[in-house]
Parts: sequence; C-alpha cells; structure tokens
Amino acid sequence: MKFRAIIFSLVVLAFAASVFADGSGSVRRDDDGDQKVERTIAVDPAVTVSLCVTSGNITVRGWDRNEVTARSADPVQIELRKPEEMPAGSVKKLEIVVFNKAETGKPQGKCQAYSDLDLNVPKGATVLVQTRDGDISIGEVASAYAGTQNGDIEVQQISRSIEVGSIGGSICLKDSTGRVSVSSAGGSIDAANLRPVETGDSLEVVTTSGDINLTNVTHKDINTKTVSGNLTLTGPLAAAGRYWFNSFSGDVTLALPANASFKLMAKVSENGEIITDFPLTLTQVSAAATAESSTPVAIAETPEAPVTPAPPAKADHSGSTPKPAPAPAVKVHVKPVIVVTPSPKIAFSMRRITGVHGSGDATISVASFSGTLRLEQN
Amino acid sequence: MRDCLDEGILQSYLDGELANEPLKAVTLHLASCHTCTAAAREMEAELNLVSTALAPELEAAVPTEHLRQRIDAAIAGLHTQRPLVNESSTFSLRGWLQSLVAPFSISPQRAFGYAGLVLVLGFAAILGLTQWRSATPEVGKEVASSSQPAKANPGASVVAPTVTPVVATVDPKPVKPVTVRKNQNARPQPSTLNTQVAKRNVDKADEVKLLPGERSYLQTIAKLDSTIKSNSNRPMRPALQAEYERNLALVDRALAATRNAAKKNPSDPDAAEFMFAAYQNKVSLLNTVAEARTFNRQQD
Repeated sequence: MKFRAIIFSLVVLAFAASVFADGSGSVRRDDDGDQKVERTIAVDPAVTVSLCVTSGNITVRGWDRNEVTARSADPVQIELRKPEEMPAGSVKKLEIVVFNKAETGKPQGKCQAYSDLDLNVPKGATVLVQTRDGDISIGEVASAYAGTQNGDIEVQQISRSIEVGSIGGSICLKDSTGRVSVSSAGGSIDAANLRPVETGDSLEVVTTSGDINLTNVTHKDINTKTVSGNLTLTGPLAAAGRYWFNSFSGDVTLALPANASFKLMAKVSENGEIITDFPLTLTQVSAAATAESSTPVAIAETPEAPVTPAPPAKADHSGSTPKPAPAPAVKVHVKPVIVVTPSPKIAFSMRRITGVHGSGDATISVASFSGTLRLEQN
Repeated sequence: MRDCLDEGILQSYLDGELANEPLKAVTLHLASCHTCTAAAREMEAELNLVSTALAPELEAAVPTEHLRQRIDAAIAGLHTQRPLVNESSTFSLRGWLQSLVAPFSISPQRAFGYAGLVLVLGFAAILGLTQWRSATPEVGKEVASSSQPAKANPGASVVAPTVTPVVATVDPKPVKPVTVRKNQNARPQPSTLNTQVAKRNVDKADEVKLLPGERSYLQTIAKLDSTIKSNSNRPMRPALQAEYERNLALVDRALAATRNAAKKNPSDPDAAEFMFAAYQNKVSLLNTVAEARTFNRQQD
C-alpha cells in the first residue's frame, strides 16, 4: 500500500514538472475583475520569439529573467510552441500562437487572432512581430523585426538591430544601437538617438510619401530615400560618415552644428534650390546636361555668401554633441543663399554642386529632383 | 601607305564576320597603321560599353505569353499538318515530276488565273513600295542618330517577343535611348491602373523609346502588379487600398516626370538615375503591397 502511494506521488510530480517545463499557463483575474490569459516558459537568454496576429496591439518588453511571458486580456488561447527536442531553459526558438477562443473548434491559421498581447522576453532576445491593423511597441531587446499595415510602430532601446516596416502607419525609433532598416509607404519615420555598435552598422530609411526625421543619429552610413516626403537630419555628423539623401519632390533639410565638417555633393533640378547657412567652398558647379559643353550655370548669391574658401571648421570626431566652433574669420550674418538658377539653354536643368565646409570629413550626397536643399546651422 | 580601313570593315572585323582573306588583309593593315589601330580600339571599347550596358536587357530575353502561344500554335499546326504530309509522301518519282510540270501546262482557265495573279502581285508591289517610301525617312533618321552600324551593336537586334516586328537601334553610349518599335506605351499615368499600363508596356503595341534597363523594371512591375491583382475576387482591404492608391499615384507622377526628363536628355546620366530611382520606388511599393496582400489572403 505504501509502495503504491509513493508511485502515485512520483507520477503526479512528474506530470506537474512536465507541465511547467513546457510553459506554465494560467487564467486569472486582475484587480478590475478582467480575465487575463497568461503563459510562461523558460528560455535561452538569446531566444528568438515570433508572434503574428491579425488585429490587435502588441507590446513587447525585455526583462532580466530568462523567461517569456505572453498575456492577453481577451478571450484567447495562447500556445507557446518550441522545437520538440529543446528542453525548457534552453529554448532558442519560440513561436507564440494565439487563437480566438470562440473559434478554437475551427481550423485556423497562425495569424488569425484578434487580440491585444503583452510579451515579456529576455533582454537578449530577438523579436519578430507581425500584425495587420494593430500598433506595435517593442523595447529593451537585442533585435526587433516588426511589420504592420496600418498601425504605428514604436521601437526603443534596442541593442543590436532594428528592421521594421509599415504601409500606412508611422514609425518611431529612439535610444537604440546597431543596424537599422526602416520602411514606410505613407507614414512618417522619426528616429532619434541612434548609434552604431559595429563599424558596418548602417541606417537605411525609405518612404514613399512619409516624412523622414533623423535626430542625433551617428551611424557612419546613412541612406534615406523618399518620393514626396521631406527629409530632415538634425545633429552632428559622424566623422568620415557617408550620407545619402534621395528625394523626388520632398525638401531635404540638414540642420548641422556650426563646426560640421563635410563635403556636399548635391544634385538638384527644375525649381530646386540650395539654401545654405554654411559658407561653402564650391569646388564644382555644373549642369550635367551641359557639363561637356562647359556652359556655365548662373549662381545668384546674396552679397554675404562667401563662396571663397571658408576657415576650416574643426571636425567632429567624437560623434557626440560638439562644442561650439571658434567663430570663422569670415562671419556670415545673413543667410548666404546660393540659388542655382537654370540656364535657359538647358532643356533639363539638372545641376551638380560640390562644396566643402571645414575639412570635408563627412560626405553628404543629396539628389532631389524638384525639392529644395537647406543646410541650416544649429 | 595604303588608305585607312573603312569603318564598316573594321566593324565586321571586330564582329568576326570577315572571311579568311579579308581578315588577313585587315590584320596586316592594322599591324602597320596606327590610325586604324586606334580606331579599332575605340570601336572595341564602345562595343564593350554597349555590351555591358545592355547585359541586363539581353539576359532578360524571356519570351512573352504571346510568343509562347504563337510557338505553341505553330507546333500544334505542324502536328496537324504532318499526317497530311505523310499521306502524300507515298509518291513516286514520276508523280512528283508530273506535279512539277503540271502548273506550266497552259489551259485557257489557267491563263486567266495567271493573269489575275500577276495583276494582284503588281498591285501589292506598288502598294508595298509606296509604304516603304513613306517609312524610310524615319528609319533613316534613327539609324543616323546611331554613330555605329546597327549590326555592330550587340544590343541592336532585340528578339521580338510579340507579334509585331521589333527594330532596335542603340547608341554606343549606354545612356542613349534604345528605340524600340513596339506596341508599348511606357509613359505611366498617375492612376491606379498604371500597373496595368506597365504590363501593357511589355505586351502591347505602340512606339516608345526605352532606356537600357527600363524593360526589366517594366517586367518586374508587371509581375508584381499581377500578383497584387491575382485573386481579384477578394478585394483589397479599404485601408490598404487607399494607402496603396495614394502612394502609387505619387510614384507614377514621379516616374512620369523623371522619365520625361530622361527622354529629353538622353546624354544626362543624372536624369536616367532619377528615373531609375523612381522605378525602384515603384517596385518597392508594389513589393510591400504584394506582401501585404499575400499576408491578408492567408488570413481570409
């Protein structure tokens, strides 16, 4: 009899252990009396977590535990799917599948749930999240990959890489490091306080009609493209950085510190103008269409515009907020506006301007078909 | 010193079209004539330039659906005709000779028939000559704009993937437009139907000047467009549709403007660059929307 009791207890213990190893689940009520579904599983610190729903907001936060917790206040069923052979605690790949409880009897795809979800994952995790209509917020993880069609995306404190995209929603990235790739059709993209971790880390931002605002971004390789959105870069330039700004009709505004050291290569056309606060040393001014025939392009300058060599500004090698540069010998009081006007002989008035400020550490390439380029001093 | 080599001969030499004797003569001449050697080198460089520029075009020689259908139809025709040929192939030599002689045995009926045939052929010849004359100045103009004989260009003969014949002339410079006589209308219009227009660009009949590389973009756009429109019994979700149409109109407007500029300024690489950037924008947008459609379909 005693032996039977021991056996029974062992079986019960083993069953309980297996349940907890595969992910503990609970249905509880919070203070407001709302029912919450919650599932937890022990994972590897660098786990890859994926989640996909049709509609609903998704929030992901990194924490110091080596566990993944998924919870929802909606009547859903949450499954934490891991590869069979992975024992709990060393799960490196986890798929979170959500089903609407009302439809649990029906065969469903993985991404058909309508539910808001909150996830907690280890800080070293890689997160892949996809939804159709909801907003996505991800913070304090290693890598974030997210996509939504109409919702907004907010990503912050990511340490290694960001790759997010939306069609109609806006995207906001901040306080993150590593490689960044962002795309949006109609939504705007705001990125602030981003810096690279490795030398090859680049930042690529593409929109069709959304505006692009980059603030204090210190990647050395920045590539931005838009059709009709406005492009704005605010903050110091990375030493030896390479910046590409490509726009069809949107304006490009670069708000740089007074001591910014850069070489500007600009291509503008149609009614596009180049307006600069910086005393640029123009090394090339030409109309591409007539460059070979050496037809000069008219340059209208304000009297104060020093197109003669300006005193070299100290390069910002630190990448941090620069100290104010010593006042240049030639002071520019009024905005020196360089307006490139098309020559009447040129059918297609594409013009190239190459100018240097300071010692020309960073390279800025701007191509705007009909937008205006503004170089502003912070 | 002998006269310098004719440009056409040099071109044939570079194309490997010369027979043995002329080949030896040209080689000997080139060994002793600096001017011709320089000219040959220049021509070779131009050829290489054109080959490089047109590589994507030439590699992407995928037959269209029309061509495939025509080939299938032709094959089917062969299959149906073959049994007839086999049946009649049980001929004797005598019968064959008789069949050769038979048309020349004149009877009054045949005489009328032949006279009628001669008349018809005569009219056809006059008509053809008239049309050829009216068409000649345009062709001449196109060829004149090319600084090199058409046969010398690797990209000059573009295989016609559609029913209409294709005549293409290419300038040595890669930025020069490739004139393709084809039923196409490549100028995009700012509307949601423009992706259909892009498909028509590849398939239909109009005259259009395509820049090197433009065709591959049009093909890609047509494919993406068909992906987006496939399963059209499931309409696009309103929110996605609205965003798609708004942005597509913007991209098409950009494409039209940059394309216009590139056409007007064939020697300006910047203009072409802007146009290709606009194409790339369109491809990116269509890709994004196609992916979204695929995602949505999986959920329906």
